[in-house]
Amino acid sequence: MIKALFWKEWCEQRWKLAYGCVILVGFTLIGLRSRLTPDEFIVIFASAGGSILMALLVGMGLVATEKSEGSLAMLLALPVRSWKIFAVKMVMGALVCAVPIVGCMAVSLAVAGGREMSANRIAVAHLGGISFSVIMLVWMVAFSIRQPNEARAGLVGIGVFMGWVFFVFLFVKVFYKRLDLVLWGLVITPLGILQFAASEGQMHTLWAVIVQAVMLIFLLLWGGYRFGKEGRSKL
Amino acid sequence: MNEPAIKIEGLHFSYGRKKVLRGVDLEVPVGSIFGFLGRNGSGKTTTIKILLGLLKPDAGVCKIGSLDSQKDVMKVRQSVGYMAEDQQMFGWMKVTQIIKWVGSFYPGWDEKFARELVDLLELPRDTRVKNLSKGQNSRLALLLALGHRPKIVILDDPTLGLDPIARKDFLRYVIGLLQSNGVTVFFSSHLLYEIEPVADYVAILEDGVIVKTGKTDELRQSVKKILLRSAGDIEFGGVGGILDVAKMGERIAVTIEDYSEAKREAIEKKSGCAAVDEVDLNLDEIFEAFVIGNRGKKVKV
Repeated sequence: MIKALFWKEWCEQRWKLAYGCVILVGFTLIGLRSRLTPDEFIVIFASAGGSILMALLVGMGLVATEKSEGSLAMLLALPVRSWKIFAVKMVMGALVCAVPIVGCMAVSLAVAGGREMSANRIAVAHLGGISFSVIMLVWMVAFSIRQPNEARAGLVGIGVFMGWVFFVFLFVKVFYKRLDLVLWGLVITPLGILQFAASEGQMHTLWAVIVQAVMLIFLLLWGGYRFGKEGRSKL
Repeated sequence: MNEPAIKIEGLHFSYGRKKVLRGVDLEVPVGSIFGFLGRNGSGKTTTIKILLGLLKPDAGVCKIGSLDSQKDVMKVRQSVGYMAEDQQMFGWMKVTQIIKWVGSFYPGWDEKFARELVDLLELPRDTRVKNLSKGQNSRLALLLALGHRPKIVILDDPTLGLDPIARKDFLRYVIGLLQSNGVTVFFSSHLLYEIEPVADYVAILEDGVIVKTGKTDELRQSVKKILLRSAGDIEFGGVGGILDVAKMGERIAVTIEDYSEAKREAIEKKSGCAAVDEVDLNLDEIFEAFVIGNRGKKVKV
């Protein structure tokens, strides 16, 4: 049963996975080999930019596509618990977000490990990217579950991301004289994961991981509950 | 006494403030083809969704055999064959793929039977679902509902969107496959003429309540239209069971529920004129009388 659900998700997501791998790994490989910019720029751009791109790409289609095509009703009427369907979707979504960035990390380490950046620094930056991508995916899916199509789900995803950005801007504006407070403010948003991964602020990174993990659990439970209720929307 | 295949008691349901079901009571006998009739938006799909545990009622109990549709959701879905209204499936899957995939969710899935159904329902095995015609799509949905050999099949407006030929074909398949095997079929539709020849029992749902239920033949015999010739206004207050009063040229047509000679005489006495004719009604006309009949019992001539 679970195997069948994974197979379906794999068939639906594999083209996005292939697209992400080609675009991000290709960009990293060409960028690091050509040496037109510092390695750090390529690494940060691929891990941070790639994480946002993949989260949007996957999050848009995870539930909304099935909803717009009408197959979600059939899926939810099968003799399988809706939370299992949701869990499989999230696991597969997270893998599709993570694998291209893992590919970037492998290429970065192989081509530029220890050249301008230490291998450890490269790995931490990419792990931050993977974490951010998964967190953004969960936020996006939890908030966009009621959206009727991919475009609307994508708008919700962009809205969530911009919401974090505005929050950070506001926080910095209010507490700009207290750097310690600014850093703690970053802990609240998933952007902190990216920032701390890039700057290796270990104490704050730990707190950011704890705060985000708690939020993630809440969002997954909330999203799973809303997903289960999706069959109820039509008279 | 045999346990009914489906039993619904005091079912209430609201979408927000909108009350959709307001005390639905229903019993579907084992082995019958049960026509669940109602206009669009009358609450048929909502009732079916509650039966399958897809919706939680505000009040009331639904039972499929001995299973409670809210407490034994997975068992209910495993034991029932369900075809949704305008069922959309995964367009990228091939016919054989979707059959195998859906089969993996049912412990009692009969692969051999499913293969036989593919031939019987004339489905192209290697065609993607998105490339199937509407008729083929409906037949595939029927196959997916029957592959685990359920004893109860729930079809929610299964012929919606089909042309008349495809509709006829579909019904032929349903009857051929199910009627002889003792399967209970709960068939919702707003197309009365397609229910009439196949249903043993019917229930009419209107505005969230069952306004009439019974054997199709008995219903046909119990509801009659009598024609009266009248020159003046007629009022039928005090006469029970009048479903509709309408003017038809120089005649007044009165549709009566639970028709009897006594009722006919009461109407003749009340109106002061003799009935000139008595007409049998088809299910379409009976449905219309129950749903939109003029129960004002008064007509101006």
